[in-house]
Amino acid sequence: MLELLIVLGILPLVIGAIAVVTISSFHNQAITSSRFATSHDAQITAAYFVRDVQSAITVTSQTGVSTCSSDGSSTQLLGLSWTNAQGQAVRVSYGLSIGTNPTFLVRRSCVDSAKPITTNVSVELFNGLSTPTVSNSCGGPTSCAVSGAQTIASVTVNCGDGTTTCANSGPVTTYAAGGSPGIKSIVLFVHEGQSKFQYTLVASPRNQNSAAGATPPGSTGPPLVLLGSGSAVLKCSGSGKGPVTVYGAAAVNSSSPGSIVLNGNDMLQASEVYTQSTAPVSPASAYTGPYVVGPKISDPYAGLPDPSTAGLTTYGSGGLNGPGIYTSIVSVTSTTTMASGTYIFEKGIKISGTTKLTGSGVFIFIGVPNSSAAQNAGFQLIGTAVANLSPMTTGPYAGVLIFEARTNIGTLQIAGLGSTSTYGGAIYAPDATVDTSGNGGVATGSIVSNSMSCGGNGGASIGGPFPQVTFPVAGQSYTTNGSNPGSWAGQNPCSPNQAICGTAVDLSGVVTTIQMSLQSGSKCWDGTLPSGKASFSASCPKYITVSSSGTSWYQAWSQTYLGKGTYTLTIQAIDNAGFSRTTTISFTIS
Amino acid sequence: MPRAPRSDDGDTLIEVMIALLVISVTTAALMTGLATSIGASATHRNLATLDTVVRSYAETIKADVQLQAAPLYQDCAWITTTNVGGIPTAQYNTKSGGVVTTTPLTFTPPAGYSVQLDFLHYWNSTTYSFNGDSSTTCMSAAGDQSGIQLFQITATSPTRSHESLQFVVRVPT
Repeated sequence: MLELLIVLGILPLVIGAIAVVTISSFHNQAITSSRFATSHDAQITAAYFVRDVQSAITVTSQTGVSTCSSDGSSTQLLGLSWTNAQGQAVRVSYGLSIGTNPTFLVRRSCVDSAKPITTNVSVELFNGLSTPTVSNSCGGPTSCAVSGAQTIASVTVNCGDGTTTCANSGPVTTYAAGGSPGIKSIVLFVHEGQSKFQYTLVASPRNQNSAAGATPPGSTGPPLVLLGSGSAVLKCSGSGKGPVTVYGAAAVNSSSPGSIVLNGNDMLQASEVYTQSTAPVSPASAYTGPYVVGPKISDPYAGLPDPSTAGLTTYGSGGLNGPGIYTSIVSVTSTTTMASGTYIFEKGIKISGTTKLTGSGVFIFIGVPNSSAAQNAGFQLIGTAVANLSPMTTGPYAGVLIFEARTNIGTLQIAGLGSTSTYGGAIYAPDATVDTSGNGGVATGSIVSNSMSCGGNGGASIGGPFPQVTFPVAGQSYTTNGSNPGSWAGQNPCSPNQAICGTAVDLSGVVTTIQMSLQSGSKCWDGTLPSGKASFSASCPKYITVSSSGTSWYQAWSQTYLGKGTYTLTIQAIDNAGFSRTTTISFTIS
Repeated sequence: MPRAPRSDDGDTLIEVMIALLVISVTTAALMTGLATSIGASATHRNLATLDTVVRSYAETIKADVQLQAAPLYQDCAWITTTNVGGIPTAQYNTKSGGVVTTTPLTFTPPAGYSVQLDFLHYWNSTTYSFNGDSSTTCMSAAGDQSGIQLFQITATSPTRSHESLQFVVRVPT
């Protein structure tokens, strides 16, 4: 009896304890698991995100496209790109998973044209929440993923100019150049849906200086960049006498001797040949300018994503209609004006006969976007056909006229047999050859391609606006003593007399703006024309638009404006493709 | 075959007590395990958060130092501390042409967490080591040179656990 009573007294205590343990186990198991999972999310995201941002050379927070994806998704929060040590283009996109329940925060990584690799960096983020939406309208952050009324993940891009929207329209460089204010830091904020666990990650790009990345050719980068390896990446054949003229540097990444072969009567003219080889030009007499040997130039458009097909009309067989996706090869046989917009020619385009193809604000993509399959779609300008095209000046493809898919080896035959064809902006074909050998000649703002062929009588001119200063002459010293020999007025050939003057040539487009900045010491001329001495009170550069007519320009001036000292004059010309180039000289007043 | 009759003998008190003891020990072990699991998950979260804090603070410093107005980067920098909104905040100081430029390394950690900048040293190419003297006189020592600066930061969590990180900021060229 006693035993029974003892057991009855103790057993409830034990059972109660076991019950408490069991209930607590079930209750805490989920919480504990979630806590571990969210912590792992934070660690995994931190490991990837910080290193990706550190590596980035271009950044985009545009949400309607994907920097690395073939699924056509528009769930991107942040796109990054750079060139790795092997010279491969790396593109990384942070966005949301497609078609999973719950939605994950994923990192998509593309190396060259290989299939994207998707990593789930945060699996708990949207657990138990409705399908989120991504946008740039976030009330503070640059881009965000919102579920219901709750912001679950957001990215804030802190630009060098203090804004947070500099990358909303497309890729910008992490260093200040070519219209990009540079990127100071990128902040990723995550607020896990169910557990309410939140964390913030700050990361800053390392390539803060333009020396770390290749500058696009629109301003200071070389107008001609040949990315291919092996011999004869630039090869002129036949008996044509048209020279290849580069208004700037011709950069050749091949390290093979004879990477530039100029047969017959062809010549190469460039401000310099930037090369990996000590004997790149064959025969050596075909180029008499300077050589600069340095490391390979990275693909300046490595971070440029393939265009989004969203919202574009699809056309099957037939002619050229308007902006859209053309799934069959397009043949243009009559004079046509292309409306501004994006054209995707998946199988290429052929312009023949006496056709004249014109258009401004045009972006042409050759091949299937985001396809990892080998392609062979080209651009053929044959017969006496002529093209006069200029690119968009805003948006992610500003300054890029033709972009051939990275897996596409189709030749871009851009010169016909008739008149000179002009292509404003850049022609970008990283895996293909650009052929300029037609006798009609060709002028383009820039060529960035695997290789280039030439040899026609018409020649090829590459480079955007090319400003030059006629007066004052670089390195000269002038007095301000009336019209005596050696004085500013006595030496001045400009009209009106005593003006600062020069020329600005742009064979591939139209020069729209010419500006000058005149520096004395650390300050620049403020733009006012005084009765006495010019005021050098503005921060530099202080660009003042000058008068221009045709290819000539001038700024009315008087020698009395300048005191004794050394001055630096910078002329900047901008064309209708948005390409700009500067020329700087120095002179002295004694 | 007839089954053997069941014994009517019950368990003895000692047997019951042993059984209860075993059950109690097992239950206690389970509870301890559960408590450990909960504690471990909390610690793990703390450490994960601490890791994000220390990484973010390091990145903030690198961004601030490399993106100073002009010039981008200065030799012989030194650190001081000031109060920003009542929070002790490290400052990066440089001197050029007799003018001192002070850049607050502003960083707001999550509630309960704190950060501090422990030291800033610079490279000496004569001794091939980081100079321990973080002062404005760095160029007075032979071999002191520009280009590489060593920072150490420490982040502390609400549970007083802390994580330190050393990193180098170099001339951004």
